Amino acid sequence: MRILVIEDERALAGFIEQTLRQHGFAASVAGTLAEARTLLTQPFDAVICDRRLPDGDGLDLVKELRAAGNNVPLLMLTALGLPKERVTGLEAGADDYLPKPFSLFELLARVKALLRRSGGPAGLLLELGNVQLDTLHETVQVAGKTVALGKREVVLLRHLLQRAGQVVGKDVLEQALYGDTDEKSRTALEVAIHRLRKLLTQVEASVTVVTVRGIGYLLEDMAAQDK
Amino acid sequence: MKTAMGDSLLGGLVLRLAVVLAVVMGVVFWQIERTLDRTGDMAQDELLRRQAAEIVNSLSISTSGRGKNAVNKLRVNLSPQSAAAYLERGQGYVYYVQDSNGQMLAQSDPLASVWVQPALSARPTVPTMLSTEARDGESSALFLLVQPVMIPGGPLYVIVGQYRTIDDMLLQSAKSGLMPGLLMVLGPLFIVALLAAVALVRQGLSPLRQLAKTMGQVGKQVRMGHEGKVGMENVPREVRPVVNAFNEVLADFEKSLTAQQALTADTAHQLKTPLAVMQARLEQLEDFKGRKELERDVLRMNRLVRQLLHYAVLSQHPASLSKQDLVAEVRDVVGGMVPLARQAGVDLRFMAPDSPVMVDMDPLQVAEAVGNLVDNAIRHSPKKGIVEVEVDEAGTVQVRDRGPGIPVAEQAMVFTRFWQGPTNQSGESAHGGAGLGLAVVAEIMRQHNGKADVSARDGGGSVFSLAFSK
Repeated sequence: MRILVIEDERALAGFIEQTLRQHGFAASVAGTLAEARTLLTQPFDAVICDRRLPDGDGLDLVKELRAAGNNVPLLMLTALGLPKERVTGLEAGADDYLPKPFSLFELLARVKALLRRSGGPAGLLLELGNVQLDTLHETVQVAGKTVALGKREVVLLRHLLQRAGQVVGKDVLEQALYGDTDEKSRTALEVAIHRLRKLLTQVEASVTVVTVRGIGYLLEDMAAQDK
Repeated sequence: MKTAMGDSLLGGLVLRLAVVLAVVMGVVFWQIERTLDRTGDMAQDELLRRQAAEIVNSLSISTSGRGKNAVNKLRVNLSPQSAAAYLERGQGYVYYVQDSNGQMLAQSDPLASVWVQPALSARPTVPTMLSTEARDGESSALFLLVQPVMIPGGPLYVIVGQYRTIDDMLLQSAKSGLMPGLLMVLGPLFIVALLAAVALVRQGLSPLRQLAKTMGQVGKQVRMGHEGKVGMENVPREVRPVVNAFNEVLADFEKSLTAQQALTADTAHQLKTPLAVMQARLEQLEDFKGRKELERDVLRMNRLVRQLLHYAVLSQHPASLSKQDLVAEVRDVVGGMVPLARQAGVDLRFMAPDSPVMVDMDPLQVAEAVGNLVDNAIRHSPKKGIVEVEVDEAGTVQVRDRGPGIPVAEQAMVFTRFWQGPTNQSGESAHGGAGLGLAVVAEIMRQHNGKADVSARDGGGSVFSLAFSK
């Protein structure tokens, strides 16, 4: 996986590059927009781009890329962390927006999420704790062993894994399970979640479904939580 | 009363107008009285002249003797009505005729000379008016006309008189009838004129009232960070300098406010990159003693800088309000903060009605305000604590925690800048409160025409509430 880091603050660029390498990514650094444009003639799997650069606004580069039909997953990295500017960034075509200062771990998590979301038709392996879900074949493995889950449980697990660690709204899950039909009742979703929990416990999965009252559910890695 | 009259343009103007009106009416009154007096005098003179003419015309003089011994015999042949009038005492008419030596030749009433002694010190050659104060009271007078009649042997003097008490006088009766009537008309006229003046002045001042309203609105707008200027349309020429001065002050204020906010925003912005480097460097280091504290310090610094930037920018770019669903917005914010709550071991819960609650809001700013409150609540909660966020149908968001709570004495101050919350022994905020978060919340609510509030929670902790206008 090749990632382009466009950041003029050399110390920060260095730390980002180092972190990415430590986690198995190949990283290139560009300090200016001009440098970035040259590097972008080659394919990258993701781009991390600062906004204030010596020769212009990173936002312009994003617009250029999107206008040229380049859909590389793009994370804006900037000191302008205000809500309005975040929206401007997303509207210009960035996929995510991380305000400075940030934790390198969060940056890494966001990049991974970006790559996950852009999985495309080739399918993707979603992973949390000892649970793996193959989105193409809709198969689930726990601790390396394939387990049999019902179709509904797989759909639920896929949505929860895609946004692991974050809350997935009830409405989103209901929509995924029952579509737009009117018969979706709250208890139906609760029953499905209950079954998923039970199954996960039975196969000794390290992840658990946490209820967030009034909002939805989130999937959490119990092993990571204990640390 | 001085302030009421002295401070009011209307009061002052009306007072001056009343004085002018009163003076004008006094002059008119006085002039009318003077004219009446003069007319009365003229009428009296004319009457005396006629009386004298009647006497002169009725004189018949026969002379007996010659030379120095010539004696003039004089007779007055009056018509019976006139003679009767002279005889009637009550009428007050008198006449007598003297020669140039003061010798009384004829008189209407022998007694008349007792109470009237015409002083003929001068010997007039033309008819002359004399006035003698009567003896029988201050309110009466005798008006006399001395008419010389030229005959051989020296002039005769015909003296006619009208004795009048003042009450009798035609003039006086006219005056006493007219003046109160005049007063009855002029009094109400004065009041009507004064009321009309009040109404007219009020109407004349209405552009000023309108202007005051406009200036108030523009001032408020500028304080909220919008550009503002009072337009010159419909502004009376006389007050344009005032409006100009106001606009200049506003522009200066705007400029310095903008400069100050820009400096704050820029400073905060410049601080962010070095902070990001510091945080990244820290994360790259091997474990060492004091790392947790250092991380916490950096985090606190980050929060402060972020809030500072937000606070400055918030004042520069006011909220743009539209009707939106408060439930959906708050649910998203709370959902986004669940990972933070999980990390802190806090149970974050959300409660809301099933139907949307539409309020006037700027969703991004509402997210910021609610996010700040929830962030605070999580940081102040004990492990395994519960933070509840509730939206009600009235458009109020409540964030309830079981933290240490805020002393009643400090509740009023929490929304001011750099309130720190309970501090520990070394003077640091016990929970790393940056001190700007709640000021940002208050500013956002102010721009939403709403209100941010805090109260103690039954059983411990705090309840923060944001009341939006529906």
